[in-house]
Amino acid sequence: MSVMFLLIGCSILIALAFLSLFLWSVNAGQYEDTCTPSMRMLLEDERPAAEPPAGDDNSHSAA
Amino acid sequence: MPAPLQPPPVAEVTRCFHCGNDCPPQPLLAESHSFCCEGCVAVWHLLHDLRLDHYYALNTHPGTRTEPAEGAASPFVCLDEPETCDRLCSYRSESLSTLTFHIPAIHCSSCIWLLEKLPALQPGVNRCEVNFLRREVHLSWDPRRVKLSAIAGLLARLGYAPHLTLSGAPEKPRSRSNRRLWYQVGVAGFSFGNIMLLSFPEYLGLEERQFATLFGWLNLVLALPVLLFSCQDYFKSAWQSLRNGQINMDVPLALGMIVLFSRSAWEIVSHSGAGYFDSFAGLLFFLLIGKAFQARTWDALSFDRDYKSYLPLSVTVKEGREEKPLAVAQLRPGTVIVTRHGELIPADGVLLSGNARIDYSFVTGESDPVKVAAGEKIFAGGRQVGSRIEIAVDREVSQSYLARLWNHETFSKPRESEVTALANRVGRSFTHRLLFIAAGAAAFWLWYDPARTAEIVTAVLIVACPCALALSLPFTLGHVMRILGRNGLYLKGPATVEQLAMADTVVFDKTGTLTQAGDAEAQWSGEALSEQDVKHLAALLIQSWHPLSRRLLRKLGPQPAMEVTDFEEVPGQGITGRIGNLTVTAGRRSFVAALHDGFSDHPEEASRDGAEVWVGINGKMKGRYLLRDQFRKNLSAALERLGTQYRLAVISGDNDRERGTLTALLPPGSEIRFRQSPEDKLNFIHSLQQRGCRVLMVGDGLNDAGALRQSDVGMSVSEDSASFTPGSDAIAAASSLERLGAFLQFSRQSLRIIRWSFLLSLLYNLTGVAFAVTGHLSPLVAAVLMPASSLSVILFTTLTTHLAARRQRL
Repeated sequence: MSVMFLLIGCSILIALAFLSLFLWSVNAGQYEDTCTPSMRMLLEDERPAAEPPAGDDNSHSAA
Repeated sequence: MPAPLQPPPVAEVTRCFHCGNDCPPQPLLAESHSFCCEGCVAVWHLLHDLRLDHYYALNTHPGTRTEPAEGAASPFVCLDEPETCDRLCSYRSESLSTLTFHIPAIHCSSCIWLLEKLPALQPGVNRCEVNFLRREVHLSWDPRRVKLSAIAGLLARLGYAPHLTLSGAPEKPRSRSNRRLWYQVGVAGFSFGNIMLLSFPEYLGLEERQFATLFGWLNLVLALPVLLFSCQDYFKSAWQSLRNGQINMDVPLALGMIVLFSRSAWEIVSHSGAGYFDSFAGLLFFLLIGKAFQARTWDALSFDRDYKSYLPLSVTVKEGREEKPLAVAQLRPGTVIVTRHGELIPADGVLLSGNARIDYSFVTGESDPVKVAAGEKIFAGGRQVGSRIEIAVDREVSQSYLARLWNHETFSKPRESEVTALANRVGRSFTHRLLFIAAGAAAFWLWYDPARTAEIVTAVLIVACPCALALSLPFTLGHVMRILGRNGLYLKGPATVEQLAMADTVVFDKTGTLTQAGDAEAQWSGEALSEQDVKHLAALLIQSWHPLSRRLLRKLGPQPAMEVTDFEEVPGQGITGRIGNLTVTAGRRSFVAALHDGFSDHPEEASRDGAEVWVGINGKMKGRYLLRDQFRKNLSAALERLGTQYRLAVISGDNDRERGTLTALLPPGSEIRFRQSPEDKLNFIHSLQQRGCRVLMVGDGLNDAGALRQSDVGMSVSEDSASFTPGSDAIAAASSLERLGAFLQFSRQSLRIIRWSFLLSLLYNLTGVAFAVTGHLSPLVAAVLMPASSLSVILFTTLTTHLAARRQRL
């Protein structure tokens, strides 16, 4: 049963990793604007010929 | 580049494909779309050539009209100077710079779509990200390939000119406190989950000595950050209130948290139990989530109020030679507006022309008008005194700023508010009683079963939630204000809803409220007016927004503008001014007769067929116009509905020629008074109040400002103008007046909803505390119940308010 110590240790470490990821994402401003992404999601890119702008990974090409 | 002009097939007014404004009789055409000006065509071509027409597919008329830049210097040249760049940019390097622009013209999804495609429009721009709520774009570009001024110029050409403030940096938002809340939620959630995991053996009743102690200590360690970090705001708030000698709602919560943590820590250290750390962390987690949710809903409500329910005021906008009305909400920086005597200036701007004397009593309390010279700044909230002026608006209209001015103490009326008083009374005694009960429970359980005391006391402290008090009032009234705003009735503040609900008498002004400045014919009788006379008269009339002036002006037709000096408008009497060295006067007969001679042999009594506007020019009375009254449509039905529940009255400054019509419109026994001066109106309202009535006065703010101020609720009716008197509590768009009955019913319903939610909250508290005191409620369940009850209050008030609105067809 001594493997429990290892397991507990690992799980706490993983949980800590997730916590720090969450804190980092809040710090990086991901929760600052919760309105525009919801509008951006619904915009379609209807120009198949144009190259997608750099960094804008929310656009989809419509058929 | 622009398409050749072609005559349109049918002579009707089309709307510009780009910006939605009316096209001139010969609109510019391009590929079967009509445009109103060169600027719009240019933008369309720009987008069309780059295959960005999807901009138009997302919304109709998504663009805004811009004047193509004339003259040599672009206003954005200053952006290339190093110091300006330093101030504005958030990051600078050889190959990459970033900054944030504030662009007030962002208003729809097309704007987002187009602006985020900026890299396609302008090579050198790497990325453009829009923040819709704050109307900002975050730009990153390569300074070697494109200059900032070129980017700004392109944005301006598209209709999205960045708003440059002198200070440069955008305001640092309150995201700091929001972030902190998220951090606290994260920490609490982390601890909660892990503590529960480690507490599993205990839930399942497994006894492993070795692990039990280890897990106990681990729980303690995991709970520490929750105590030290996530609880901070509650501790701070409780401490502050105790220092002020009061007990606010956070005191029992903080107490509960401390009790729970201490007891659990003691149990672990003394090996006497497993503690309640899972409840502790869970408590914090749910409380903080509840807080975050409330903050979001609150933000959504105030965002709505700022951007969606608009003050139903309009300004006159000058485009080239033409002038037309425009809703205040659509006013963009750069537009030229015309402000007449008594009109409110809705946004900051620069005086272009005219003799400006601005009354800033609304803003500063000073009623002495301030003289402003051309080129100087004029601030929002001022009112023009005298002849009309032209202002170039350079900031957006801030609804919140105007609303704040309006709510300033000088304009508030000392009225009692039943519901707020109730809320305050209950709130004060609530926490005292709760602490008393908690102490009683603690005493009892210490004697009966000491081991459970901490748990039970905490449960009692946590489960009692005065949420209804804190939430139902602001939420319900917030919703009501929003719904009414959408329907054309803009309230000064939440307290007005209550006043509306408590009103039992409605007093109407006649001119401008029950009647409108319609298109009825105006008959002239007297000496024939020469063309010159008509021009002079028109130049005088255009200075005033009195309904009679506007009707007359419409009849006279467009006339060349002339400068009027010494313009004066006497409420209820008339207007006068000097053009050149001629005195021109229009208005009541006695008023005109004081300044001009003539018609002394004409019979004294005024006509019974309509309103008279006598005209005197250059010392001689020329004659009069007769304007028949035109009552608003749908009035009889609205008045009938109101008459069943309210006492109605009409007071008018006019003569009694309309007595018959009004008697027919109003229920029998209603008071109708004529020939009332502004003081008479005020006294009438006062006498009603002496008799115990609660009066709602509906007027147009012109010569009943005093009466509006005196009444319990003053409602000014706005039609095509920025007429506004700060003594009023509500502004109604003229078209919404017929639904006054529905508005009043709805307000009454909302008060009932608030009382219901108080009752429900009381029931919840009684049940919850009963369970907790008798030991049947674990702190964890209490912790879940508390935000659940907040949520249920919010849900209840929201749903019932919208239901009530639906019933009134609002």
